[in-house]
Amino acid sequence: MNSGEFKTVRLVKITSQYVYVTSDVRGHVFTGFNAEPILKGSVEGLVRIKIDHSVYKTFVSNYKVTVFRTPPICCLTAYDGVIIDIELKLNYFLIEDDNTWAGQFQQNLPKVMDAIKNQQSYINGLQIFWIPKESWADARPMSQGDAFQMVDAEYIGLSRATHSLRVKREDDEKKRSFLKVSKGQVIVYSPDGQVKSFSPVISSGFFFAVSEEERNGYLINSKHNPAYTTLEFVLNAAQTIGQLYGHAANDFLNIPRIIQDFGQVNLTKIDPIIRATSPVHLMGVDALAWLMGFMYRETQLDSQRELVKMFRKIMRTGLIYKNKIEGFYQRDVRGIDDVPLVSCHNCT
Amino acid sequence: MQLITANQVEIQYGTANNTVDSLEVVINDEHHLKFAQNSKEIRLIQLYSKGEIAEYFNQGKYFFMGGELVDYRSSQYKGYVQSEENLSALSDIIGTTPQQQGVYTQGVKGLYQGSSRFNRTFALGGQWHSVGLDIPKLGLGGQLNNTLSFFWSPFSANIKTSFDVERLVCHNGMVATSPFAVYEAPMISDWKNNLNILSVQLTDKFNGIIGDRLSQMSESRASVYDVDKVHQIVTQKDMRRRLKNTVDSGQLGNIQNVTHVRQHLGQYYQPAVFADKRQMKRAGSHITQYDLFNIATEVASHMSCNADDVQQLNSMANHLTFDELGKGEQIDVNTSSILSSESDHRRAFFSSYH
Repeated sequence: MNSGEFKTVRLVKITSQYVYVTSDVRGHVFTGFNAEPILKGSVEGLVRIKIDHSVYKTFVSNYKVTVFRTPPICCLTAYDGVIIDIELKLNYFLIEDDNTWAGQFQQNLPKVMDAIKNQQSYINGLQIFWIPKESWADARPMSQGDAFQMVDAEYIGLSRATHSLRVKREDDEKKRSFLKVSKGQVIVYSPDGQVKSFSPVISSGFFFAVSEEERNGYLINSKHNPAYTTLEFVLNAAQTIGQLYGHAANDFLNIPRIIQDFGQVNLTKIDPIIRATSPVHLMGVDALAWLMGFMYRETQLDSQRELVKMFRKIMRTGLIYKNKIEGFYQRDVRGIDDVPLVSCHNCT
Repeated sequence: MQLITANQVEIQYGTANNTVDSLEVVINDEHHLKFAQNSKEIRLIQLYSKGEIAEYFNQGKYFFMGGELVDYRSSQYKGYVQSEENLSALSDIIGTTPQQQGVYTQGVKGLYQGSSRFNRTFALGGQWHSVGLDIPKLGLGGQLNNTLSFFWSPFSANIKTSFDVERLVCHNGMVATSPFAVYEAPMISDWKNNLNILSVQLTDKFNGIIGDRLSQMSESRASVYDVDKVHQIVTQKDMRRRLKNTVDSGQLGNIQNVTHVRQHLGQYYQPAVFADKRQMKRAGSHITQYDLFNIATEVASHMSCNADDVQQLNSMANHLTFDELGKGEQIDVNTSSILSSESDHRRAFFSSYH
C-alpha cells in the first residue's frame, strides 16, 4: 500500500456521516476528497465530505467537541480518496506554522511504511497490517489440510492510531513521535497454495470466544468436532453481502432452506441467543472460505470496511462446534424439566 | 434557584507538577466553576486559547441551586431553555430530592434518573404518586408499593418518569430504568393537571406490566448466565469483608451458596456449557427469575454494596423484569436433521460473487 494522502484544512463540524470544512490551510476553498459545496448558511466556502461512522467515533473519543466556533486546523488522512482519520492541531502546537504543521499520522505513517517496506502490508479501512516474516514459521493450522492458518500479525488500528488527548504536554510530545503498533492474529486462507486471502486482524487471545483447549487444539473442519455456521452468521453476512453485491450474491447461504429448517419466515425475530447457538446446514469452513472470497476480491476501501466490521462480528457469534451443539446436558438428563428448582426462601 | 446568562467570563488554569489539571471558569465575577481532569471541558484547553474558551462559556446558560452548579449549556446551545417562571413552578410542584449516600430511600438506594453531572447531592425531581399492587399468586411477597416519580431539567421541555418497585414484605426494590418504564412527556404549562393525567395513565400501565411480569417470573427459570453474574457480585472480596460479623453475613452466605451454578447444575449440564457465555445464556438454571430478582434487590437494598454493585444489581433486576418483554421468539430447532457433513471450501471460495 502507499502512505495515504494528507490535507490540512479548517474544521467547522463533524457529524456521524460528514465532516464540514471551510478552506484549506492557505484559505482556498477545499475541493479534494469529493467535497460537496454547501451553498446554504453564512459560512463562506463551506464543503462537506462523507466519512465512515468509525472515523466520527474515533474523533469524538479523542476530542469530545464536534462543533467549532473558531474553525481549528486539522489534518485529513485519506487512502484511495476515502478519509480514514482526522487529527486536530492542538492548541499548544500553536507555535508551529499552520502551513508546515503535520499531523501525527502524516509525520509517522511514512516512517512505519519505510520500516516495513520489505514486507507486504494491507489496509482494510480499519487497520493497516503486515505479517512479519518469522510469523510464517509459527503459523498454526486451523483446518485439516492447512488451507486455513492463523498467523501472528502486527497492525496499526486506524481508530486508535492517534493518541487520545491528555493534559500532560510532555507526554504528548513524546507520544507524538510514533504510532502505536499492536499485535494480533490473522486468519490466512489459501485454497490452492498460491492465492492467499487475509482476514482482518483479530485481537490477540481472541478466537471464536471459546476455551483455551479449543483455541489450541480444535480444527474448524475436523472429522470428530467440526465447526458449524450459526444462524447469526447467516443473518449478518446476508445483510452486508446483500447490501454490497446484491442479494443474488447470497445464494450460497441457501436462505430458503434455513427458513424451512427453522420453521420461521422472519429469521430476525428469533431470539439473538438462539440465533448465536443454533447451527444451520453450512459447515463453518465453507462459510468462512466463502467470506474470504469476498475479502480477497474487494478493492474498494469503503466496501472492505463493511466486510471487516461484519467479519469481526461473526467471529464472536457466527461459529459453533459440534460438541457444543450435542453436548449440552449430561448423559441421563433428558431436558430442562429434569433440572430441579431450588427454593430461595432463606435468602431474602 | 437561579438561571443566569453569562455576560462576563474569566478563565483560569489550575496546574500541578507542571501539568494543567483543572479549568476554572468565573461567571459574572460571582460564580466559580471548576472542571476537573477528564471532564469534557478540560479538553477545550488543548483546542483553544483562553479567549476562545471564554467565548465558549460567555452567553451560556447556567442553572444553580443553593449556590451550586446543577447544569449548564454553552454559548453554542440553541435548544430549549425553561423560563424562570416555569422553573419556579417545576421546583414548587415536583420539587427536588436529596440523595444521601448510604441512606436507604426508595427501591434501590442512591439510584435516580436525572442526577446532575455536576452535583450528585440531589436530583431535580421527586415522587408524585404511590400505589399498592397485590399479586395474590406470590403471597406476602407479592404485596408491592409502586411509586411514580417525575424529573425535570432547565434545558428540556420534557418531563421524565421513573418507576420504583418496592416489596413491602422486606422493603427491597428496584428503580425501573428499562425503556418499558421510562417515558419522556413534553409539557410546558398547566403542570399540575398535565402531571396528574400522565400519572393516572402511567401508573395503571406500569402496574399492569409489573403485575404480569412478576407472575410470569415466578414460573420462568433465570438463565445460568444471570445467576452466575449475581454470584460474582456477591462473592467479591470487599463485600464479604464489609459484611463480616454482621447480621447480614449469614444471609450473604446463603445467597452465595444458592447462586453457585456449578455446584447446583454441574450434574445436569456439560462442563463446556459453563465456559461459553452464549451457552450459559441459553441454559435454564435452578432458580426462578422471581427468586433471582428478589436476591438482586435484597442485596442492593440492604447489604452495604458500593455504588457500582448497586447499579449492576439494579440493572439485573430490570433485565429480569423487562427484557423478556422485548425478547425474540424462542424456538426449538432439531439440529440433527439440519447438520450436514458435506464440505467443499474451495468451491465456496471461488464461487464468491463479485
